[in-house]
Amino acid sequence: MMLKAELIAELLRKSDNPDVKDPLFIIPSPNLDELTRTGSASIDLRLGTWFVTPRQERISHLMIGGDIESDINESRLMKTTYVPFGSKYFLHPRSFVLAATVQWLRLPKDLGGYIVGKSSWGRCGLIIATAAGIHPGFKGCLTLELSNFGEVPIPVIPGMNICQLFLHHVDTLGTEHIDESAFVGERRPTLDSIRFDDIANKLSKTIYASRR
Amino acid sequence: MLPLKYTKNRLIAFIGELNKLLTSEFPYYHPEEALHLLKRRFEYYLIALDKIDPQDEDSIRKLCNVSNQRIAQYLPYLGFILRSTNVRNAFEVFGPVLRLAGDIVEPEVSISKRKTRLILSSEWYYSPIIFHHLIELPHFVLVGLPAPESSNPLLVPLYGHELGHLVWANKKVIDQIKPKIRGIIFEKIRSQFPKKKIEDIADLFYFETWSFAEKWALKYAEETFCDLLGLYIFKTSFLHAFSYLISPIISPSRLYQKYPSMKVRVNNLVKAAINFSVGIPEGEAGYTSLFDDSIISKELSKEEKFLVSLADNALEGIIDQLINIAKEIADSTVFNDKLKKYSPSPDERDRIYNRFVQVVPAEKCKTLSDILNAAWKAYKDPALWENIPKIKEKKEHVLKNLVLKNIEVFEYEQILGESE
Repeated sequence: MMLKAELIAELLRKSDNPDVKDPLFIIPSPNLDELTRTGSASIDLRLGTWFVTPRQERISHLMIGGDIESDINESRLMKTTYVPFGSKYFLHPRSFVLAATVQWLRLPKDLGGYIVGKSSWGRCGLIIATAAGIHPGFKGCLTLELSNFGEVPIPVIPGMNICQLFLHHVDTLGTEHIDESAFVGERRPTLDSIRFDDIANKLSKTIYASRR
Repeated sequence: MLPLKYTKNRLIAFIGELNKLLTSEFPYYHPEEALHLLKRRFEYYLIALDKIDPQDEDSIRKLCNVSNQRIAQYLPYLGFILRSTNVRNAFEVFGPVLRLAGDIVEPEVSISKRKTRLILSSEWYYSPIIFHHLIELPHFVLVGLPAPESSNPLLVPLYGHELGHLVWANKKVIDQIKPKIRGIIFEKIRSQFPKKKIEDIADLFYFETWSFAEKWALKYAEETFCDLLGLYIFKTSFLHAFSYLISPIISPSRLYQKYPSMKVRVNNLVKAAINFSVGIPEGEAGYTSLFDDSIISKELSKEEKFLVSLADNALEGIIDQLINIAKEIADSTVFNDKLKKYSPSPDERDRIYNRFVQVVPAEKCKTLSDILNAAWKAYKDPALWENIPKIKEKKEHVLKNLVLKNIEVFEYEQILGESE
């Protein structure tokens, strides 16, 4: 069940209450009175200050199933840019950039969420490329994939509202186990190599497949 | 005249380099502003050389000398400015450190009207560093941490020491202590050589002999003052950062022309910490034992030993005065409650630390110092995140991210507060 903004505000009000063992945090927190009044079922998140783009001149193609997750490889293949509050980042047509939210989130074990772009930005051509799911227990800033599908460059400015977060209850069935993904505890947008699981690995080694 | 032509060419090449650097990606405007200022100044030198009377050899030689000196002097700063754009740096700390520098230098001036300019960079020399009072870059403060540590927020307290050098110069602290240092050295010599007349000791010949002791004592006093100011501003986190970077010892030989011995330096920090009611990590004896002077290999000559002992003795004689000066300056600037400045407190540190335990930054922090003290408390806590194994595995990485995010949140709130 999707949480209404009023309920999100109520959970955030209780976050520092010592009786709440597994609180929800969104830092910097929104104006809770305003949030309560919106009547919506989401909370807006702001664009952060770090951006990551591929160094196209160094990449022949994307590595799939490889083992290139070290920091050195990431910084060799990706360019990181810091844009402080008050400055702009120009996203050109058909370009793609990884960004992060200003807000640092902490989701309790019984809440999950989705990130969705804002329609006002979508109409300008700016798309949050995927509807990113957020698992219960997530801690850190969210990595956002921004693309400009429009015809003109779009200035994006750290601190502006960029996307909306929908939260919903997760039925834990009494289990305490949560998925601690590799992206936990990050403040900058992060890249991860796309790795094969066992099945994909075995399938990729069939002897009769074309080697192209 | 060939030197004139060469000097002009050197200036043209230098200005060309400035133009190239101006195409860098500057996160903040201050480094870019510095390059524009330097460009204007060096263009001025070039115009002056163009306009000079070709027959006036004396003026040509003088102006060429000045131009060449400036080129040699400012080239290393260009490297420093270029490194300020590297994403290895912890850009999130820029705003809070700029505020701190402004609070120290011009506390009563509102943020928007302050002249203080900051360039935060990284250095290819394993020591935090500061450049200030540069002729061509007035109001600019250039501060850097060693490159491998420039993204480490836990070392931000060391900026307190570096800014101390700026305060030392601005507040002319040297004028307050120099007569006393000279008096102590003078008395010591008299006690060692009781048969010498006062006039003999003070005369030019003898003065040249012991003036090194005075010069070194003043350097020891400056470095000690900077330690004390850093300690008073950043409290326990300064002691942690100091030991992180230096213990057991960073230089194989004692830099006796600039620093007191490590033992004296650490003892003074401990003494001041007690005076300032600052908690000492590992306790007094434990903290002192983190440092080890005994591995220093260089033996001093008999004369050097004597002069160093005079300088050490002079520092000991003024340490209480230095402690008071550091405290008074910080209380009247960065912690001045009349200027609505907050002082760090253990309660605030613990509130922020409790947020870190939940892997969450804290809001409404009052000082940068509180955040850094909470960060060090978390760093030193072996039980931190024991119940979250995936995070515990990469504790330092996550903690540094969390602290930098907390510093950014602190700045975010400051900006919003100022615009209200």
